[in-house]
Amino acid sequence: MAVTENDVLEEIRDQLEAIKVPGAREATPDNTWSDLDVDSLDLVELVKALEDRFEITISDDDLKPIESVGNAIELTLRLVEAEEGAPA
Amino acid sequence: MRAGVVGIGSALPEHVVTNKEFEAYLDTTDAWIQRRTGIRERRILNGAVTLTDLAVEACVAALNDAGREAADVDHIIVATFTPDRLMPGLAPRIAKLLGTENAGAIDVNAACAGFLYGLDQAAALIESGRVKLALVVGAEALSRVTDKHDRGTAILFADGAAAVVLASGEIEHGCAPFVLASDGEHGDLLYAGRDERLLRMEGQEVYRHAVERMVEATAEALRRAGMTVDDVDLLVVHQANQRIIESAARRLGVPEEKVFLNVDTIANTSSASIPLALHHAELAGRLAPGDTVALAAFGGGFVWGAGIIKWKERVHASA
Repeated sequence: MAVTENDVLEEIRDQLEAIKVPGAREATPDNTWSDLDVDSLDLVELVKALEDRFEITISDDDLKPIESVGNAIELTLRLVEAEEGAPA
Repeated sequence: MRAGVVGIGSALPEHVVTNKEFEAYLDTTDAWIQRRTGIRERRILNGAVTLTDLAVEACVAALNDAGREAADVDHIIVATFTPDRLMPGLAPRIAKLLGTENAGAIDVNAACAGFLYGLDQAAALIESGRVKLALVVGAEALSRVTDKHDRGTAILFADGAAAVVLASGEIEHGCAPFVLASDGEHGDLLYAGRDERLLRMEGQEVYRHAVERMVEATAEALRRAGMTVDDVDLLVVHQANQRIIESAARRLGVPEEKVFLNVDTIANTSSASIPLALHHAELAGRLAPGDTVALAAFGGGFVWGAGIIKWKERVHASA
């Protein structure tokens, strides 16, 4: 089943909640990491959760321009699509 | 013949530095430090007390706890990278002040994994029959290598010492084979340079590697010991940062109540961190004889390791 934007948003909210980020449940794609007070160590946890859940690999280069929840959703969907399109 | 922990002791500097003190000269707050690191306060050496003094105090307490005399000690291994002098290391002076007789005495430097490397070496010496009673000490004065004006690291590091007595005996488990590893490719991500002599760290990279490597090593150590995560009574991870510890525990599947934390009042004391945590866990009633303890540490190098020990198993001493 195709991964939707909402699937990724929910996973991001779950993970932010697990690492005790205040306001995790209300996070929206427009929120930047700065808005949410998410720091570089929180991002490591978030990346790991997205990698495990959606069976993708997020490189350090991929991660650098990611500054918001929306950026993270776009990146995840792009990597999932690339993974699905790859020859088995 | 196996090696078992039969005594433990620790010593901290008297001087307490609270988070509030950093607010005066760094762009930071108590709330920020607590949320980011879990640290509330730390102990720093000042005045005339040396790291050797602290280490000796810890060793005396450990020997008393074990009911053994300094003269019985064959070998002392001190894990440190902040000794009082560049050379000699701490160990020979500690041996002298304790009053050991002809004990081998050596410092090892494996950064924050130093205590695990030292414990593994001491256990191997005992298992081979070369040594019967060893002291393994973790002693650090990280305040000596901390950049007080670096907001990212000034708040993290602290001083302290702790020691365990390792004895030879007919015991069931003792210290099962440790998992130790290194990857020198990342030596520039966490280091103290020869000239600058201050700790420099790429926090995000170190965090990522630390969690992954400690989780892998702990899982492998459990496998080698023929155990699963359910057999662990207490997980004692190098107290670098509460978030690293909680992340590693979550990924290993160790519930919160089995994870020991004293980073709130001790902060990161590098190689002293694990034995300090073990002693504080015992004092807090979280660690009892026969308990299975999983240890894991990660530090500059990178070097890392994990080991499974049985806490103060009854030792039918052979010496």
